Amino acid sequence: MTRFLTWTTLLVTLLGTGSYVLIYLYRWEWHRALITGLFFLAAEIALVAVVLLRRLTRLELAVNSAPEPQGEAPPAGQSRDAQVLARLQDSRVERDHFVWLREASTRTNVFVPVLLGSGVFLSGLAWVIERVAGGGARSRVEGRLAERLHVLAFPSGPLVPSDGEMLAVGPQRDPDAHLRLLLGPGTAR
Amino acid sequence: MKRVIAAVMGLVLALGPVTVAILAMRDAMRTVHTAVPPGARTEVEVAAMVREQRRDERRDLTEALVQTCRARVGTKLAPDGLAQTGPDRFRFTLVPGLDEFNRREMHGCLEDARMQHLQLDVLRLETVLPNAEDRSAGRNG
Repeated sequence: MTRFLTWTTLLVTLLGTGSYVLIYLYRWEWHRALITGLFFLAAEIALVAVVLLRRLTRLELAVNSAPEPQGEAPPAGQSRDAQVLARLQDSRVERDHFVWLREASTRTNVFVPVLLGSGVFLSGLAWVIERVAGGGARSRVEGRLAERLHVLAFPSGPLVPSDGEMLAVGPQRDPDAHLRLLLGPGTAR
Repeated sequence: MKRVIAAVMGLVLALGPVTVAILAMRDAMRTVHTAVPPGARTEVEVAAMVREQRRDERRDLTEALVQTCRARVGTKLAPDGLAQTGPDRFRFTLVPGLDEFNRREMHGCLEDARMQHLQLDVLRLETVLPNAEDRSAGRNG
């Protein structure tokens, strides 16, 4: 009865609104055509939803009432999900994730400490070499570098002649060529 | 094979009436303007129903809708404007007169649910030709 009423209502609504959309369009009554069109659309969506739900329900019933596969009588009182779960558990493969450790412990367990020990020894040796080489070579390298940089170093005295030196040189005396160069053209002869 | 033939025949039989219906609708809704003799005018009489609380605005609402619809069909209100012929009835004249399709459009525009709280019923809409002897053109669209 409910299904009959649902279908009747939907079909009547669809036919009525669909017809009136066209009638209102013919009459140039656009607003009424738009509103009626909205109702038509809603009825159409409802119809599609009803059809889809019916199909889904039928599928669900078909799946739930499917006969059991041959040769596997289900235990009494057990649901289909429990049957599937039991089957999965029975076919599970047991795995031992640390079997590699157990196998290695009989033959290769001495290898790891030897590796660790040699690593420590080599690190210590490298440190000693670094200290010795650094201590001996540093002073000699620095000395050689200082000799090379000697020419670039600032002189011990001032770069500019003092007032006393200027007076001592005077304009008549022949100044030092380097000094003349330093003092500029004013002291040129 | 038989099912395919039956399906094709069913489709053809269904398409026939549908095609006829679509073509008929197209002819009915197609806008084809016909020439209206100069000097023709369209006389319209409407009944305006408004909500109780907007009774005092009946004339204003009706005039607003009339102006909207006359602008839509491209005509003008006669200088005498909107004349009230009863408590809820109005009469007006449109110049220049409307052809068949414009009359139909005007009729639909006036009666459409376009303005809130106002519902017009078109009582009379006809185009009157300038020559009184040829007063047979264009009853209600």
